[in-house]
Amino acid sequence: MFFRKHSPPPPAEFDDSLLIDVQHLSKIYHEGKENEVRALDDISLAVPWGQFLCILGQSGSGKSTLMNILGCLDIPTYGIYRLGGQPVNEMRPSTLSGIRNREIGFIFQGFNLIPALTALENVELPLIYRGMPKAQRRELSITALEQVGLGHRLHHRPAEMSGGQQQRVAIARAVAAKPPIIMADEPTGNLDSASGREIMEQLSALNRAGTSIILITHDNHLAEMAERIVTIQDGHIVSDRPGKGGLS
Amino acid sequence: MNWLQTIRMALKAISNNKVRSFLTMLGIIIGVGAVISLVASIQGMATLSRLQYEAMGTNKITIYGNGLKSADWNDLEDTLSIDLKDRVKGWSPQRTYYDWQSKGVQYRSKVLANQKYTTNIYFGNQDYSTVTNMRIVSGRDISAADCARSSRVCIIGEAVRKYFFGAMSPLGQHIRIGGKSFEVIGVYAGKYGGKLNTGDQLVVLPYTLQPLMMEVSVYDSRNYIIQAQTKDDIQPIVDTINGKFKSRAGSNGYFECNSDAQFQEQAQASSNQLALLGGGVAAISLLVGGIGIMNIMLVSVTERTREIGIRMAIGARRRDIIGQFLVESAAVSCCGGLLGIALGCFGSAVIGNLLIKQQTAAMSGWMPDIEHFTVLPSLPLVLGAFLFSALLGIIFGLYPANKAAKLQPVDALRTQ
Repeated sequence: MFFRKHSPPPPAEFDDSLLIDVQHLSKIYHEGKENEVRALDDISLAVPWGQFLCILGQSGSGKSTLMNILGCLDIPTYGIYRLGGQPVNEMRPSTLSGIRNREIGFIFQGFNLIPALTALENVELPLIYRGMPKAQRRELSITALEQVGLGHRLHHRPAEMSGGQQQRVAIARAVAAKPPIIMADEPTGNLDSASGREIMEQLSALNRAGTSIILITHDNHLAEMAERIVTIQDGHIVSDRPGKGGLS
Repeated sequence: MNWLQTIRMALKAISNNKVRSFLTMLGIIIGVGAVISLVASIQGMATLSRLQYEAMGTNKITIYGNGLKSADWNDLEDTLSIDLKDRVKGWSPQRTYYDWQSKGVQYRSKVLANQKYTTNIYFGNQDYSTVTNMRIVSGRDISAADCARSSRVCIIGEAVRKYFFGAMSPLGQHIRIGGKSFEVIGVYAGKYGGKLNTGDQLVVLPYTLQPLMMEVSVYDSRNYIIQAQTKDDIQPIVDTINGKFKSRAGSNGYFECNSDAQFQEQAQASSNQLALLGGGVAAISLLVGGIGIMNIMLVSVTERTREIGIRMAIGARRRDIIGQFLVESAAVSCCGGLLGIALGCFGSAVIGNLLIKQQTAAMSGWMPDIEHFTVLPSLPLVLGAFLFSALLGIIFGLYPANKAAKLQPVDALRTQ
């Protein structure tokens, strides 16, 4: 039924060929009607494990839609999406929840913290859904918050923290359980440049430690920190080139 | 995610919105409170009237008749003692002595004058105490020998004892009734608080003393009271007696043997119906309370759509979201249920005791001791009300919870 004590859904059996394998992916809203919108139109993309990928695009280009699909938050209208070799199209909602819970850490532009919960509780939440015992998840969460420099803010609520601090809580939440993939949608969009730089440095550090990172941004300058830059415009991939992060 | 976590989260959500949660609970509180106090009060009244009935003796049958010959009355007594021996626990003639001269009952110079207090004086036999459910606390009961010899003895009620004798032992003392003297051989335990002007102000004399006290004519009507062995014996006794003696009353006479057990049963049944009806009407307010919960939960789902999206994005499954909202609405209604139970206990104590007071006043003198009788809801009633309110929370939480869980994570996240 609704509750089992430790009931993580079976983790998808990922293989190590490709992290992301997208073929002919389309997302169409109001298909066939007058107000039809092709947010994504025939996108094909292959991303190997461990890459720091930036998806670059202006607002309305479809980059967020792409990230939502890659992050298993949304389903494509057409096309095939394999994550770690597994067909996401065929997965049940609970399996998708499990993937979001264990394999992907999300960092959003709007932070997306739960206002009623403290920093620590926010970081613990995914671990609770995973069914992790209290002592272990507390330890992981505190470690993660300390790593982002918020060891002294464990019991503050989001409203009591600055934007940069909130985004660092969100990062701690995303990385606490050390997922293999981090997806960051305009993580610095709501932050001043100093805070933004700090966040980007933390992402780079994570990537150096082996985490695959997908960064969504409209900022050309920021995109250069990635290893590979895929530019999207009007739902199409218009360029795919290495970034400076990859060269250095 | 386990139960405890879910409950903790739900309690947190409730306490984050204290005023709203309380207002939501109010419907359940009033509903549960109303159901409990209504049903408990009605049940209390029924218990009260049952106690009252039992105080006067259970499984009682009365015979009233006139116009029968002495031989018929003797036959009746034989029928009770011999033919119906296995069904009859005891029987006694019953006759009230009317103190026409208004001399009252006297002990030495003290008088229980009739103008102020009416002493109930009865004639009965050795079974009289049993049949009327009176208990001897000191001394002895009237014996068969007392009746056979027409001994001038009596048993007095607690009120009479207190009035005449106080701390002194009444046994062996003589009281005067209608100018005749009788030895006190026993005292009845007080059943109505031992006060004057209640059922405790009584004197019982052997029935064979009737001719001594008053003129007895063969035409006089006669009363008998009978106690059946069990409830099931009542009807056979009534049928046997009526079948045998009703026809002997003659055209000018009258004979009837009946039992009030069926009336008592009817009264019990109708008070049960009343409780059901009252509880049902009050349950409607519970239903309204449940709809209030659903309403607020729907508002809460809408308000927290983004939160639901966040939770889904970080790995909450549909069942987690359903669980969260169900537990939340169940927690609201359970809290409401608990407060409602408190209100109901309070309400039934207040209403019930008011009713008892009224009833006691109306039944002056014949209300048995009910000092430890307070109207409180029974355990099944309390448990039932609690479970029902929990069920309400779950039923009315299902729709909003399901609505929340059906959201697509991306749509929920997009909401501001």
